[in-house]
Amino acid sequence: MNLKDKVVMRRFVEIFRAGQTSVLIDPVRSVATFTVLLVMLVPFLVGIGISDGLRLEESAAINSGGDLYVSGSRFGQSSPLPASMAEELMTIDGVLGVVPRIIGLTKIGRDHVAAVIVGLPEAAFPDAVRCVSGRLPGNAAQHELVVGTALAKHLKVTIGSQLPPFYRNPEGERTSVIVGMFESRIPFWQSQMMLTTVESAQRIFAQPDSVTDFVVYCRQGYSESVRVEIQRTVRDSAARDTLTQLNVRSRESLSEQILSDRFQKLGIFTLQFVVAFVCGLLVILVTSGYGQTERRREIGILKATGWQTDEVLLKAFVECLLISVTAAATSIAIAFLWLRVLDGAGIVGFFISGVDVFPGFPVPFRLLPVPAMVAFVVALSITLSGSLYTSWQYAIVPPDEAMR
Amino acid sequence: MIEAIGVTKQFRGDGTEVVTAVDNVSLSIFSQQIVVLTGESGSGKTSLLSILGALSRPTSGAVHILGRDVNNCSGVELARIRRHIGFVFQSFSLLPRLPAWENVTWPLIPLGVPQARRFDLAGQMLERVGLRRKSESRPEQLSGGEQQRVAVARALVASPRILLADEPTSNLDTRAAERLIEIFREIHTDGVTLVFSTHDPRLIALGTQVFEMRAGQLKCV
Repeated sequence: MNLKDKVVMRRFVEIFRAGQTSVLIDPVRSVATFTVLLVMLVPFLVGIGISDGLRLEESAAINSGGDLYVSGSRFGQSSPLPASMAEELMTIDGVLGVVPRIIGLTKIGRDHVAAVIVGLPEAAFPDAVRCVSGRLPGNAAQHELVVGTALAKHLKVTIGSQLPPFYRNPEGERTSVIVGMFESRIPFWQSQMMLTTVESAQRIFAQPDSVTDFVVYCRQGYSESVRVEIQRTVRDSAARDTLTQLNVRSRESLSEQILSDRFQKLGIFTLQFVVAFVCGLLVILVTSGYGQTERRREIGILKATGWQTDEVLLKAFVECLLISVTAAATSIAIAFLWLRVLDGAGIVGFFISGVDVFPGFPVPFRLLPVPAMVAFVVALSITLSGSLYTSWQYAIVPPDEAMR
Repeated sequence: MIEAIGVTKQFRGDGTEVVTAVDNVSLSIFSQQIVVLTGESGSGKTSLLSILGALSRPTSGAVHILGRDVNNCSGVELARIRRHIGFVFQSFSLLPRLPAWENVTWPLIPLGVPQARRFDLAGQMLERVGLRRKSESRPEQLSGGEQQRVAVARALVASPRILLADEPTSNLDTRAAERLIEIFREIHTDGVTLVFSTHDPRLIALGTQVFEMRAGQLKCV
């Protein structure tokens, strides 16, 4: 580095220091700007963190699930399939196993708490579900259920609690009994799912010998051929028997569907963030306007004492940069605490429906570098738009006018 | 050093009324002179000083400072000219939340003077104006006279070739004013050209050239 470069570098360093000092010159304005940025950035980071965390969990769940998902539809609506179709599916070359499932939606209690009743063969209870107390359901006649801990908390039920009738079938109204509670690393299972056997679920929904879908496990490399075979042969027989349209979805297409749903939710959340961004921008413009006489005078003094316009702007840029970096870093730290300690309270409901303000279970999250960078860029854009233009306006007028 | 030729400065007052603060003034200031501008308040002294210090451009006429035509200078060139000029404002124009030493060294920042060196220079300048022990005080903690002396220290810190001072002793008590006049004598001996606007007879006595301003016009006394 030659002497000239050294002088230029030193000049930059000293102007940088002056910018640092200027942040402290007007603490009210700096703190107001910093606070507005935090109010905007923290919920954004929490939301993006939850979205990324859920996406990762869902991908993991799908990857550990079946290869194909066979369901039925009529008039474009989901419709049950005969349970006996499992045997037909098992005969297809390349199929390793078939798990019939019942997934039914219901509302429970006076508050109409949304719950998903999942009926599975005992042997197929998912690994992601860990029974933390009680036992797994067995007796179909008793309508035994295990519930996620978060849902149990929401419904205020414990093991042995009788659930009042929440369904009606030709056999009349029936109560159900909670025999166990589970925890799962998949949060919406915890918050919404009630697990039972296929037989219990068939009774609960009064759909004997029916299931909502089949999970098909295939030998490696057979997934596509099995899918084609199901569509070619089983579809025909199903149509003959039940007039039901068969839908066969691969793991990949299901993953894409979930990803698309997640992006839709993320899109809505981001749209709300954009609204907050615009409001924040307006607030910063107002707070920047506050104390403008002093700022104008300060710039006049700088110009009168030999500062160039670009040096004044550089100093203003440094001020914005410091406030933005501090605000972005603090936002990331607060967002982390919000996610880790408060489980994304208040924001998780955007992504998982039916969750309380305080979810009461660990919400998966990931704070990735890209949203952190976005937070910083947003903070910098807002502070710059509130400061740089006005600084430039004051810097181009003669110093005696700016100081007046 | 400074040459003003037919300089006029007009401001737009309330409504459409045009106020002529400086009216067709021609003036030459040579190296190491002490030029004094006297005159009643509102006679245009401050406006003329602003033009001579490259803080504002004249409405008409030409101003040459250190050989450069101010009217044809870019913003960068004007800033470079101002680095050779120290200006003491009547209202001090200190940055309210900065300690005295930082106020003094603010002009050195774009010159790339390191912070430690700036701190030393500020100490020397404040010592010179008798305020060393107040280097950490903010302007609001200083009296009017002390603020005036900080402003003088700031004007001198970058070793200017020209010092312009607008009523520099107006806020000072007798002792402080005499100390300041002594400082002006010293820096004049160091080769700095001085231009004052003042009513103070002690400063007027210092002048090698004294002008009186009346209604924007300049008359040699």
